[in-house]
Amino acid sequence: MSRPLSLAAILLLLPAVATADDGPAIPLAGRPEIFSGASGRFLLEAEVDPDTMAMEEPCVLRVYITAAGPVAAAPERLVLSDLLLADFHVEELGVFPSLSETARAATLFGLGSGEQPALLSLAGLVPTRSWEFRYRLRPKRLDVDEVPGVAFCFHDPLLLTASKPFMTQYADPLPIRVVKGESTVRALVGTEATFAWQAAGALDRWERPSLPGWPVLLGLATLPVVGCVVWYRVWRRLYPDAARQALIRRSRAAKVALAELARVRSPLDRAGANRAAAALGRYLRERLDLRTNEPTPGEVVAHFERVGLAAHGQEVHRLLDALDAHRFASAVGDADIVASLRRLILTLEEEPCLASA
Amino acid sequence: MPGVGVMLLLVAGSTAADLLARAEAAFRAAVESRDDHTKAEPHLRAAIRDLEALQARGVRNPRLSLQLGNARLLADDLGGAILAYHEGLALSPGDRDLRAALDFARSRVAYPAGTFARPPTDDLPPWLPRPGPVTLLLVAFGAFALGCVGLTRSRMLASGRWLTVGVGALLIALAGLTLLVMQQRAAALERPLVVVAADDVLLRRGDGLSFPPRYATPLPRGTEARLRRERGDWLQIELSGGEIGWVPRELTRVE
Repeated sequence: MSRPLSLAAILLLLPAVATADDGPAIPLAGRPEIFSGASGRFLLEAEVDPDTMAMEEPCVLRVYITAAGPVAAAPERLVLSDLLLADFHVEELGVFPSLSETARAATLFGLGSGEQPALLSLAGLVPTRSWEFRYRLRPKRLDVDEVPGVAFCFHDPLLLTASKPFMTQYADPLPIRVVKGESTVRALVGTEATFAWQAAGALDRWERPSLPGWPVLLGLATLPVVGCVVWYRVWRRLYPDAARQALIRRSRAAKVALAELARVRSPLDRAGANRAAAALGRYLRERLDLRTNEPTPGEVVAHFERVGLAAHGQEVHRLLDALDAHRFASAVGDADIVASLRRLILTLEEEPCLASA
Repeated sequence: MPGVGVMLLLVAGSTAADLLARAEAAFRAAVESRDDHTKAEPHLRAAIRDLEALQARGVRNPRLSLQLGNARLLADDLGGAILAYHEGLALSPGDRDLRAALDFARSRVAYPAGTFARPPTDDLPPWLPRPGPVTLLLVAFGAFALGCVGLTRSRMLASGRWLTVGVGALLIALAGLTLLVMQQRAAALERPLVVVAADDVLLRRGDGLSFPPRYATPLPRGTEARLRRERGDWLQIELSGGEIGWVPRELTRVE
């Protein structure tokens, strides 16, 4: 029989050969996650070839699933165990019909043995009652000594009394031997730092860094505050003038007035007296809210009494009189007036009612 | 296994210095055979055994972790190396040698495409110091003290410049303190580290082989995750991307 005729015969005979395996539906409930999709009764076998190989060298694992009765659904997948995946690099080669089945079909249709069995199976021309799952495995380590058993989970419609009509079969583990070979000779991989011995101080005992307790933390937080308060007080005691100056610097009015008084030349003349009087007047207006532009000594004393500074009233009165004497009566030479004015401003700035303002 | 028994007796009878010296000798012998992994491996195993014996005696420091990590890395124990580097960094978060070693070890992990199974990215530049809690506390305390000094000095001299110094230092102290609190909170919530020690480990939906993989992509050796819970010989882990699943304990290294 010529080959084209053989193929035509196959196509004609196919419906008669292929089995229509219409069985009961596979229940979804209770379906294991490693379910292969198969329904029927099956036998499981596995083999590995070769069984001795170098590390990282390939071997082929074949898992044969053979129907032991009517097949409602063919197996579609196998879930390999983590143990197998841990020991081997795995490459799936696919699902094939059993060679014996293919050979039988080839004989049936007059094909020579070995003639394109894969083509036949792919075309669905072989009534596959046996399936071969094929994997290429490469052992990762020298101490790998077996291929763990492969699990095959299928639905068995004949288990009528079982609430879970799923069965799992395990193939026997397959012993192998991983030997040292040429291909296993490889260099260590690392940076130069990896190859350096850097164990100086490697005998020290370290603890994980942790924070001290709350009392210590509270103490740490309090220490600077207390220290600074003490420092400030000591500083004020040691340098009272500096402290007073600092206090005054906070009053812009006092600062301006003192600067103005510093410009008054000695001995005091009329212009200097006018300048000093203006500086004092501005200070009193800005600092003590004195509303009069050119206050008389009496008005100033009355205002001092109103704001609680009566103790300084007489001093202010005296100084204003002295200034007036220089401004209007052409008195000269009393350089002490300016110094007294400076002292007065400093003294006023230390008054509690002003210091806190 | 008389050989192992003799080895255990030897380890038990050695001082820490002896163990370290022996580990160094074994490590150097392995480096001499660096062109042949098969020849180097027994030496590396011996070095690892001695270094681990040191750790078992309570000796812990960043240098020891670095050396142990290097030995494991050269011996192809990528998971163990990553774990050792992490242990060292827990002791000294700013150790640049450990960080560089961890980066190299991670570069050898065959991560799948995308972000799946990858460790969290560190966006800070490598030269930037990673202060530990004690350093942060010292910085915050120093800044607080400087702030107090600045404010006191500004009070003494009525100086605006000192006021700026004081306020600035107090802000730094506040920032350091905030960082410290965040760090402590994160550390308190952190779960033990799990490193996958085998290739192509599937993250499963449950604690058994019968459970299907949660993701089709298997985890490569060296994947870092956090332990959520344990059940028998199975660990529930969480990847940095939030993916949760179960893996067999024997295929992992746990902190």
